[in-house]
Amino acid sequence: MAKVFNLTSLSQKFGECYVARLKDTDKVIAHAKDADQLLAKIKGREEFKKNKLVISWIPKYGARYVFRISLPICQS
Amino acid sequence: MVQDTFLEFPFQFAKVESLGRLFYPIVAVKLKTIFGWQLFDFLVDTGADLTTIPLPIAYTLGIDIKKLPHSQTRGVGGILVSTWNTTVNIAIGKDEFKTHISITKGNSAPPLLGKKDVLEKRYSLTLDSKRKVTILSKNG
Repeated sequence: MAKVFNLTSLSQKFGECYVARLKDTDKVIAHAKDADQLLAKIKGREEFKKNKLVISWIPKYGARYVFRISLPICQS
Repeated sequence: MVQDTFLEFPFQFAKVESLGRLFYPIVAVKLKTIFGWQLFDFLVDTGADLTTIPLPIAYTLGIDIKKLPHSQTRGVGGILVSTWNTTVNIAIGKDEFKTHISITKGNSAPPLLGKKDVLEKRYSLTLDSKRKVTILSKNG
């Protein structure tokens, strides 16, 4: 089994948000409600400049989600 | 990740009320932000017609939504969602390509990797629940 990443503790700690974590170690270095706020927070960091981070969405703790986005069907 | 044409991404998981541990198929996608290429986790969503990003991420890509055509898209239960459609360059592994995207108002949905330009043609998708990995194979 591949090394899966557990979001549970992050969702308990931060709630629904975005986090920046190190690609290699999964260590979270910053979090924010929105992705643009997060990037503003981390843009000066060395890890960010060296492309060592991954931005991830964290679900709300315990919540169930269904996503479905569909475009209107064209009628000719 | 193994090769460019065969990419593996470990599942992520979270505890969900009354369901226990639930796995999320996540794929790392590079987006060209105003600060350069950055890696974002996208939830694989075969129910999404288009790759979708929330508005705050569009801001980080330098997209001015005032210049884009505004439309409405149906979400779950037929709820109409305000969207703006455009095309952007994305990269999966070393494979950089242009794709249609939909920008959703608000921040209620995560980045979604959808069908158009990605899952319908360019890549074949396998969710290997035994090995807990999402596999994207580039079609020849």
